[in-house]
Amino acid sequence: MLIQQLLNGLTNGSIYALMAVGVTMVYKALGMLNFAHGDILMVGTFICLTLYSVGVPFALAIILSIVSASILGFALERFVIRRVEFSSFVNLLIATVGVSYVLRNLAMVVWGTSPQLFPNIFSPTPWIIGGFMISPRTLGTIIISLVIIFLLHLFFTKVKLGKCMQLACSDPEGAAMMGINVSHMRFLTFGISAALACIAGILIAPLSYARADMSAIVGMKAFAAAILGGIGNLWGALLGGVILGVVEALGATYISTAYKDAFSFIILFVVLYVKPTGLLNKRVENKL
Amino acid sequence: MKKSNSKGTKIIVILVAAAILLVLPFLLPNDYITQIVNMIGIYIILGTSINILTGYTGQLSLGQAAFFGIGAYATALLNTRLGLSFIPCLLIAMVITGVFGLILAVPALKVKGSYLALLTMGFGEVIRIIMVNWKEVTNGTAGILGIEDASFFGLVLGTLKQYYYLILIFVVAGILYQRALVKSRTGRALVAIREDVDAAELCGINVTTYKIRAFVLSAVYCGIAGTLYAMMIHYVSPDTFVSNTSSVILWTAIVGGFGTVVGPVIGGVVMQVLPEVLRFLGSWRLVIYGLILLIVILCFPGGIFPYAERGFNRIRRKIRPESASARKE
Repeated sequence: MLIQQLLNGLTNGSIYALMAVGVTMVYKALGMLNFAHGDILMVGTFICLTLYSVGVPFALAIILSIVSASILGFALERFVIRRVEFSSFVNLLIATVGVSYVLRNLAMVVWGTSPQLFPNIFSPTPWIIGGFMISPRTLGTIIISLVIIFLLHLFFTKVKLGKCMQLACSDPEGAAMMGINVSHMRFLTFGISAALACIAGILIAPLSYARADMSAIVGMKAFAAAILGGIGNLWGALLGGVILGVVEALGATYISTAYKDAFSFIILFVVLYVKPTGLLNKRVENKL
Repeated sequence: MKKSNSKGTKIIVILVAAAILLVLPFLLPNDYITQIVNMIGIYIILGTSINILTGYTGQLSLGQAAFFGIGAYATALLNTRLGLSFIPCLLIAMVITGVFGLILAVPALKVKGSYLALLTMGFGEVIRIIMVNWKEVTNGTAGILGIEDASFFGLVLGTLKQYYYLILIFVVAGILYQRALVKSRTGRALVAIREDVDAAELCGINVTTYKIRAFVLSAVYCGIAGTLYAMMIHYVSPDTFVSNTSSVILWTAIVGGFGTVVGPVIGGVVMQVLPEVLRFLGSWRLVIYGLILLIVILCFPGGIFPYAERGFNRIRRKIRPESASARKE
């Protein structure tokens, strides 16, 4: 039972980690949380579901939905963020809240308010390995998340474009002087972040259903995971996501299922109070 | 001479506005429109609450709906369970929301910017989850029915028109208190904290105390709005106090003009009238509503009021010289 719950926690945790990585990337680029992150995830998930239900092969539907989520991310950067970037922090933040409001209500009109079943990516029959039941979903989700985060790590440390993106985020002026087009890099950051959100949505939807109101809760869990691990830190996001997933699974089993979603926020309160920089960040960022 | 003249016009404007506000309910054709006008009043109070916290003090909150909800639920429970009437309900609701404001202020003092926004958003979500799940007290998603009409000093309010006057008293009092606050030492301290925390601290402003006061005051405003809402609608449910409501409250202050006394008034009218005007759009209503607000924020980053004021001044400057020269002739 305990091991089963731990595995469940790890599965959800690795999905939270994927979302947290996207949150963290945008935070680095903008110095701000993107409050429309959860809504991009939700819209991407619904696009995938719609394509699948009109007969597009599942694999193609997944790819197309990831592409359209990135386009949404690009559009958010190009048409909203870039316009208010220089006015004030409050305006920037409120603009993302506004986008979130529009996307959520749009989803309610287009896809309805009731939860919808989402097809399973993995076969539902569990494997039995050495007496343990491991569902392909658990293993698949964890592996996919780990591989994506590892690839991102390679991209940011080994590939030139990734290094340029890192630099453009951490020191925009310096990057501009080195001949890096900072606004292109930021554009790309939003696209990748949105794509990660969409993948996370597709992984989480078979269990939580695709629903228009998933964005608020899921989005806030992504923020909680990112902050828990230390924002701006790839491995921190992974650690934060896993801790959040495990605490949530254990809390739901041993304390109360009804308050499952409240646990992540309580963890968030405690982290913000005790160590606002997160577990893996030592430096205090003044933009906090 | 000129000063007393402008003072005279000011008094006339205030008297005309007061007269319009007093006879307004008799001009409204039906209860449906009276209800909208009353909701404008409640949202002006909510907008004022966030204007003090965010507009003047610079502490961004995305969880105002939680305080609104706490006030409404406190009133609903005190009235249906203990049979308390309007005034005790209002006072206790104000105390309870104030205490919650204090509780939120403690972790909020440590963070700012988007972390604070997230913290307040999380607070709102936790309160909503408790409203939904603590069924013995809150009756879950079904909500609490059967809240009695507001009554005080032997007076029982029955119609929406009577509620209009009750809400009007609180709106006027709330705005006047905000105006007095802004012009006082406290108000200047709050603005100093918004502009530069370190400089404010160097000037000898106790940042911690002032921030806590802003949080508590803002929560109490929401508590008042919650009590008025519960007594007028006679029903509370968790659906009303969701994050969408928090966004609407934030916009109420922003659309009009953040950090201005009249901002929440303009915002309250725009935010409540716009969805009714857009009713012909059917289910697309809220999408278009959100889009319009987003465009307003993108085009008028400081809210409508500062832009309108600037435009008004420009027109006046154009008219003034002509009228002055006309008088000379």
